[in-house]
Amino acid sequence: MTGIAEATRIGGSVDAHKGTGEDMPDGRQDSGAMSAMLEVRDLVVSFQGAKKSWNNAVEGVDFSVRQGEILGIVGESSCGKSVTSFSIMRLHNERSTKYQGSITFDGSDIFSLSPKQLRELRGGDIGFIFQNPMSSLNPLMTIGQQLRETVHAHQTSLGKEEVEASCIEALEDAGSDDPKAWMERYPYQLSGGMLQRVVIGIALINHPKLLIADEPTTALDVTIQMQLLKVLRGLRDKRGMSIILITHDMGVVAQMCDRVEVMYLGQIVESAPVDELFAHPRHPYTQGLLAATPPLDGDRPERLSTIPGSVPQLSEVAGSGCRFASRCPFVADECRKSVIDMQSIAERHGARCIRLAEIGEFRKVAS
Amino acid sequence: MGRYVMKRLLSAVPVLMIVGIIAFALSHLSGGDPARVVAGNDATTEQVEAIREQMGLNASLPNQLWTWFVNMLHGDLGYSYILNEKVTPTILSHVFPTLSVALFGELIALAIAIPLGVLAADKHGRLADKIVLAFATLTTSLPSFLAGLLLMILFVLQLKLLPASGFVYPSDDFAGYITHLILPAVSVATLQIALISRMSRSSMIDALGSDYIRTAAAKGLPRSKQLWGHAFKNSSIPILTIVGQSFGELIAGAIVVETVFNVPGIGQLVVNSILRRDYQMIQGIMIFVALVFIIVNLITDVLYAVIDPRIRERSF
Amino acid sequence: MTEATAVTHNKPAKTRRGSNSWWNAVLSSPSTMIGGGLLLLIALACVLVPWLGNMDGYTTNTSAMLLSPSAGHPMGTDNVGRDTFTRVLLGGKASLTVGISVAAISGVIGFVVGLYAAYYPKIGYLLMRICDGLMAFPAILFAIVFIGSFGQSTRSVVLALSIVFVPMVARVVRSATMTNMNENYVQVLVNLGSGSFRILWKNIVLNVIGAWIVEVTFVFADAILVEAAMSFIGAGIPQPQASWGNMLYDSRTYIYSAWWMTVFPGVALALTVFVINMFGDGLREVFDPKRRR
Repeated sequence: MTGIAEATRIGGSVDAHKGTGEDMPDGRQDSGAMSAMLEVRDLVVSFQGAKKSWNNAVEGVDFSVRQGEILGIVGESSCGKSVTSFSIMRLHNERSTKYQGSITFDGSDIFSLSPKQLRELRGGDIGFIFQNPMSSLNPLMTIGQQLRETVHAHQTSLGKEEVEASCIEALEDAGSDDPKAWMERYPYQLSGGMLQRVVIGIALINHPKLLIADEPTTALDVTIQMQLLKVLRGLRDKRGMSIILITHDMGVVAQMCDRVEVMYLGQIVESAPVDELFAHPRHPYTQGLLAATPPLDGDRPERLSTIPGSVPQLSEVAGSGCRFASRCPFVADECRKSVIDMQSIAERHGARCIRLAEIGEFRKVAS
Repeated sequence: MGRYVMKRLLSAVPVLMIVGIIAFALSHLSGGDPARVVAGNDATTEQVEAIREQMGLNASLPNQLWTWFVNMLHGDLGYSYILNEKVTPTILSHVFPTLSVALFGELIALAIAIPLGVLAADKHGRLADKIVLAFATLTTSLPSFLAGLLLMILFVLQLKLLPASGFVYPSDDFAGYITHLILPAVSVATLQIALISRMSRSSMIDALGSDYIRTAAAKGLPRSKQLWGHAFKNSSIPILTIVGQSFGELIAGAIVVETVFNVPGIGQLVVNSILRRDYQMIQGIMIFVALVFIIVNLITDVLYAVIDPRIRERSF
Repeated sequence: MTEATAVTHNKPAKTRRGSNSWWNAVLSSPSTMIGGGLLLLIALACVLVPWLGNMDGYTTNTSAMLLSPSAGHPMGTDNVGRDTFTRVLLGGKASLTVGISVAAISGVIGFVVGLYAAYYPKIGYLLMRICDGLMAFPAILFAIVFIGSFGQSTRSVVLALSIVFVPMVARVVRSATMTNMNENYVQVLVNLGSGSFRILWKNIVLNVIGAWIVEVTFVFADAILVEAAMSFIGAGIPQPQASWGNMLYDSRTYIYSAWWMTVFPGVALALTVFVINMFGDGLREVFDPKRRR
């Protein structure tokens, strides 16, 4: 298991960044940290369902992102990763969504922003990269039009040449080899990988401080996936922006991230620096995820293990203790009795599990 | 682009042929003798026979169809034995008022229906949406001629605001042309408003739910830009489709409404032909309107290609 | 967004509904119930009231011409002294008869045509081109020419309108059938060697019938509108038979002096069509939940 964290990382300047990262105080332990770019505190997002009832999609989510940090949010599908990331820019339909808790970005409270301030934030200081590049762009507009309007929405004073120059710069930074030609094209004339570079270009055209990438490579080929992850890492290194990377792929986390939040059914179940998480995963769910991920180097095991069962509906488990109980190999009666809080393990490592000690014993015996 | 237009033109040929066959069959499959109808009840057998020869009814049915079809392609829609006039020039002399009413009505409908549809989609599920939907159901239920009668009672008899009836050519008096057009045009617009507002609402709801609108929101574009710059562009193809498909109904509405407001257009020609039992003329009008319908749909096909680069690409 | 819905909806969406749940859905859809109820009420009034009250809508009475609404004549009298209220009811009977007949005839023919046009693509192509041709004619012009050839009678009106509306029904049934043809269960049946009759009439029919009922309801409303327009220009149901279109035709000369001759049959026409449309919209929500908005 430990091999994964040391596995080949993309880009050369990683270690330097990790070094600075480890010197900083952790946002989780020290909530007053000045260096946090984004702080999410006790976030609850609920959607209006049938018959005016409100269903929580995400509960008690707590995390922070520092400047220049790449934070990974990982978990199976429908565990609340995207709901969390959309909430940072309040992209959910405001009429059928209720937010509780707080999200503070660069000192300002997201939930008290006026519509105008919110608009300035979106595509300005925060850039967003969506999952499916084929449908994320308007099919009837050229790439150039879609880039230019993003500049115009935020910087009204620029002249024509300046707008053009920043479009080309953004596309180049996103890894385009021929930005001028791309600008003339319509989305259907570009491949999926090229389109995702365009989407990245749109996200960073106004020099954001934070980039949120929601499964940016899931819809693409593996080879293109690698190139794009390299582009994202390069952006962090060149521009010093923070990145939130949402993925279901532990391999991507290992290559890209400084810190990881593991989510399950609307809650963060484990939070740790990436090396720590891969070396000492504590929550049974994290352990399951890692056991299901092929190591990046060394021998591939003949069979990868899987987590038994599938993600249940949130409504079936809410309020009845640990949400992972139905799939957990270490489940005990006490797990189902009360709400489980985050247990602190090391200085910057926490897990939402009350049987950490027993699980540790069990693992020792097993090995 | 030229190739695309050619392809569309060619695809209209089978429809045109079927239109011709149906129209031909209508007048030749009835039990009665068209020559007898034209000659009238008092005519002698010899007179009927002479008319039958003149009408070409003695040739075999396929021959008649062929002659008739070739004539149609040459723009000859037949001969009215009752007026002793060719059908085509008579129709053409009545086209301008009808087209004025229809196109003015379409403009009014678009100007009202599209903003309503976009508003309803933006406020989907809320009060404004429900009001638009109710309004659309109401206007679907109001036939254009009835709308015309009711508008006449209201604006002409009660409020005395607008001229009651008639038609003024724009070359004579442009202001008069417009004021005489308002009531008939609003009357034919009712059904179009219902169709177009429903279509723009539902296609806008689809468009607003799509990923590129989410991208537009995440880029920080204002709502107005998301609606009109992004979503509406993508909704315009279904809207164009409904406009094309309902064009026949628009003309039909104009024809009926003309009789309410005494507009000397195709409608008046239809009604007079009914009174004169001049079915050659009505048949000619039927084909003429079908041709206009086909042409309008060709134009909408070309407009698709103007709006959507993917359609343009496929046609090259 | 997909994740959100997956989390919040705890029951899997139903793909096929049994007839029982259809009925429950009809009962719980207000516009279907109100529209259907009002339609029934209008139909009963038009059929029963003139019959029970032994009312006369045809005898002219020169001493009671153009009377404005009063207790004796709640909707006034027309230019030859006939009671407008009676004629509105009788006209409703005529309009509804035409509408129901047209809906039934074009509904049945359109259903069969659409079903087979979807199952046999070559025949389907030909049938659909004929439908395109028919749809190029505005309904009212086609019907007027038809009447010119086959004589002016209620039967001709019904036949002409039935022909005009077959393509509309056939198109809807064809596309619904084609959607179903692509479903796995049909492909399995085809591979198992089931005959076309069995597949079409035992399996697909149940999934197409919802869309068909909705379309037939709208044909019902449209047929009433076109019949009224035809009668209004003097080429529909022959005079002196009462029909809303005929009454509006009569009213035009007196629009300056006798508003009731226009307003009452006009409102009756619009109200009836509105009620049918409401019923149809309700049915669409019941049978086609995907398009529910």
